[in-house]
Amino acid sequence: MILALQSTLEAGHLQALDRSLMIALAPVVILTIAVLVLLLVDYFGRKHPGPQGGISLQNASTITIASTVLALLGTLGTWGWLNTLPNGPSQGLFPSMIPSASAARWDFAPAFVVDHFFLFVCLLVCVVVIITSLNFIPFLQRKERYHAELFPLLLLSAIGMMLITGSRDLITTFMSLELLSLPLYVMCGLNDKNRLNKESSLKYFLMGAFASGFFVFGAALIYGMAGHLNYTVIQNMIAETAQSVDPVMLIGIGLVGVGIAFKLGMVPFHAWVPDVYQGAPTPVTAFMATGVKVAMFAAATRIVLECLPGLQAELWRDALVLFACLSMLVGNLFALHQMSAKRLLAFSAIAHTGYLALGMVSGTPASGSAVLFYLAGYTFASLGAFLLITWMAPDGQDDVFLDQMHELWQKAPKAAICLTILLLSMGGFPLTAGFFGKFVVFKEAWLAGLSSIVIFALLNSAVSFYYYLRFVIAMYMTPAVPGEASLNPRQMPGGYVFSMVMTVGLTIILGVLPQLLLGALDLTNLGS
Amino acid sequence: MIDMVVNSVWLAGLMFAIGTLGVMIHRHPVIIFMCIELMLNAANLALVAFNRHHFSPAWRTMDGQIYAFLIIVIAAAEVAVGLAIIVALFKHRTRVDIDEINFLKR
Repeated sequence: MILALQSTLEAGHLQALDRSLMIALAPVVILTIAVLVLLLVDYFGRKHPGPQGGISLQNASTITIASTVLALLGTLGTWGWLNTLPNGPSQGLFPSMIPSASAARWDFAPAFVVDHFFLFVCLLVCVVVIITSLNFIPFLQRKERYHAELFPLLLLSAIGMMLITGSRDLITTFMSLELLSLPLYVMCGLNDKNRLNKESSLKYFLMGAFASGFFVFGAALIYGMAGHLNYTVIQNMIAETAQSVDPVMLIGIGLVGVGIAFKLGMVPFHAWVPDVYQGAPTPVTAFMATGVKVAMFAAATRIVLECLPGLQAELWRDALVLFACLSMLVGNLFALHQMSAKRLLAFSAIAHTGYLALGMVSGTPASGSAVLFYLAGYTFASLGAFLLITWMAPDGQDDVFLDQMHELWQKAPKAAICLTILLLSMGGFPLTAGFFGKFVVFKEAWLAGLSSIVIFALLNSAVSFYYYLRFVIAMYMTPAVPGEASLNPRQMPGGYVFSMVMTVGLTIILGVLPQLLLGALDLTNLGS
Repeated sequence: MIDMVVNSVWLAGLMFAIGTLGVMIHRHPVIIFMCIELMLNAANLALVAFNRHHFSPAWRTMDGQIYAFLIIVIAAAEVAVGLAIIVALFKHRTRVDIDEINFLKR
């Protein structure tokens, strides 16, 4: 072991562990420092132990937003810096010793890689964190309870989301998976007086822990067969035994897949999604629905593109296509008659999981960028919609129902227009980001020869317009019944205005000028 | 030695199956949680057994055992969060049964 480390140092493999490491991991490092600052200021700010005192909500939110903006700038800086490197646009970090083909020596493969794929997800996560934390303050001010610990949790979860995308080792993936999940379980149960919050927290926790059990056991079986958990080793192992992969290996890959599918909320592992999305405080739902989906899909895409290429295509592809079709079908069918806006978005999230999974099936390097484009479009639309629900919800209720939306057009025309654009983008209406997202993802599936599946997906997105338009029609055309509990359009605070301008603006910009992002995303193709 | 590895992995598989089944049939959150811990420990046992199989005397590879330690740490963090959530949910209740936690379905 020591010998190996020495030879590594001599060979220059660990050179990355100096200044350039800090630059490459800038977003993660900045957010980690912010978490420590928040926790320490909160601790030392208390005059006496107890729930009173500590950091104020306003300061915590300012530190969070400032550090995330800094992380965003750092990510942009690293994005340009990667291109100037002599070794090409990806920087492998933390080399781990992996067994090589000849038993006499050991090779090194990075357990973590900083490439444009990782950096793009960092950008998305930073945007999500900024927009959600802008909206926590008005939300929390309406509730009587004090929750400054929310912000370090939010940042910790965001760090997990970033790390899981760059990870090239199943154990690193697992650690980041837990880092992103554990704070979210707590955030769901934000208000410990609200039984819906608590129920959503318990369900999310039990399902998440169950999923990680599957993931870990699958990883253990893969370790047994391959001797290491590095993606390079797994890929080599699969490639060597291409036509007769050991059944234990297949079971291992299957269990890891089940674990990820649970987290993604793919049918048949979707039962927790609607309850958790509906029960959690709406800004937390917004963060969870977008951030977790982005991070988990990015991690799944990396696993598919960097571990599985050697595996007989029909094996995993058929399973993925089956799950994708089931997700679309079940998500759309259950969404048709939802009265609660949060539940509707939860079922539509299940359907979107299906569309996104179609982007991965081709397994070509370009599918990475297709998935990322769809994720960007979905993130902005979903984030905006959840934030509008937060803003509109009547007092004492953290959700909006269909019959409360009547005549929103008269009461708050700007909000109605924003919500219409966001819902249309989710459905995939032309000139919105959702349309081009669906286009690039379906193109990947079509190129993989799945034309009938693409037609099935198109029919599904046609069906999805029914339930999105149901809400739109309610906003514009249905007269309100007098005496009915109706929405409470409050004065829109600055944070909301900014977030709405950002989400709606980006949705439209990506829909009208998709080449802006598609050009940048060419860099994010994962090599296989 | 190979026999021992194979037997341990079978045992781990059995533990995993018992854990999975337990999560599905039990109705008490704490017992469900214990079953999940059983699943994680099954993975630990498998990792340690496989480490024995992959052990190379020349390099003294301990990857599997290190993975097992990492998983123990994660499991401990999960216990801390999970028990807190369960306690918060059942602070004002006498009976604990997940079939009764269905406010969201109503």
